[in-house]
Amino acid sequence: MHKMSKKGFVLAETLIVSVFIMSLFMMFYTNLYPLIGEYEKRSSYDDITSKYTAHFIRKMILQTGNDNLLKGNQDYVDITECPNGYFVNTTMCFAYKEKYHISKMYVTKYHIESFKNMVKTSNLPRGFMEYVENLPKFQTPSNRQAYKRVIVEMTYPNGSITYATIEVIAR
Amino acid sequence: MKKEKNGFTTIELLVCFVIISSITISLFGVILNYKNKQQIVGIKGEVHRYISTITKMIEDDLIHLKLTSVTISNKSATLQFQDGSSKILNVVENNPSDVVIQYGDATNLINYPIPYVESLTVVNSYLTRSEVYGYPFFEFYLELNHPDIEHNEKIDINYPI
Repeated sequence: MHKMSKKGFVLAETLIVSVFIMSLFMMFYTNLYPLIGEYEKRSSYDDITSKYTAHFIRKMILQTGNDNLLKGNQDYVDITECPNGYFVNTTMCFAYKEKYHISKMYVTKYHIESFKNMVKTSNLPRGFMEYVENLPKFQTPSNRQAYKRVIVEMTYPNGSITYATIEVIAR
Repeated sequence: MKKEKNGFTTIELLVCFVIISSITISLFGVILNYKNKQQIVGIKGEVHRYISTITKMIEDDLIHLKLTSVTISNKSATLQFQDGSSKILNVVENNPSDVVIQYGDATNLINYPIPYVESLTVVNSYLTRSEVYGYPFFEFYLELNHPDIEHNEKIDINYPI
């Protein structure tokens, strides 16, 4: 008669496997959960109303006929306060700002890497930083110097904030 | 003959059952949560598609045909364009969950009912001509509410006249 082997799992083995499986699920959950938040955040990026708002700002800028939207080594210009040179009629710009709930407006180079870097180190609101960080770099061939971008932030009375960007081709 | 000790002990089985049950219960909660979120995302998508379709259709006409004047009577607007053509925009509210936007030529008005989603209601809508700093704007506003959506979604068309 031979001695039979002691088959089956011991408690320690079961525990180790369970902990391993649980940690796998935890990893899966913690990596997947932020994606839902990310999706919800992105629903406020470049939605149709914001895109048309950016279009109207672009239209106003183009009315100036200003080919030189960024001077010298400027990477961007804050046009939130409707400066002369970017708008033919500043009162009209303020009217648009109020009507479209615009809280920020920037003109940047088409290739926005330097703008991204500025935003990263600035004290701008987190939502705006995340939007700019999310944008691609919009690389253009070097012969398209006239290509610029407008970036607009809208803050609505109900607290929701949306963002949009659109290209501005000055000539 | 000595009996062979083979398989699990009661304690091992019990511990195993407890662990598997707790994993299942926690996963059930997570999956249920995902299912709810997925439904909310579906509703949001439906509402966004509706808003995008209506906004694009009207804004495209306003931009390309160039709005010159607008006549508004309660929830009906007649839009006059530069080329002499005109279009009519109506908001027909039978009840808050049965609202139809009508848009098109006077002879060919097309109905665009709000999405048939349970508990989706129109909480505010208006067609108006307003002035900001002396500049006239035509505004079409329609706000949709659903208890599962955090912020009300809206059609908010503002066009300078």
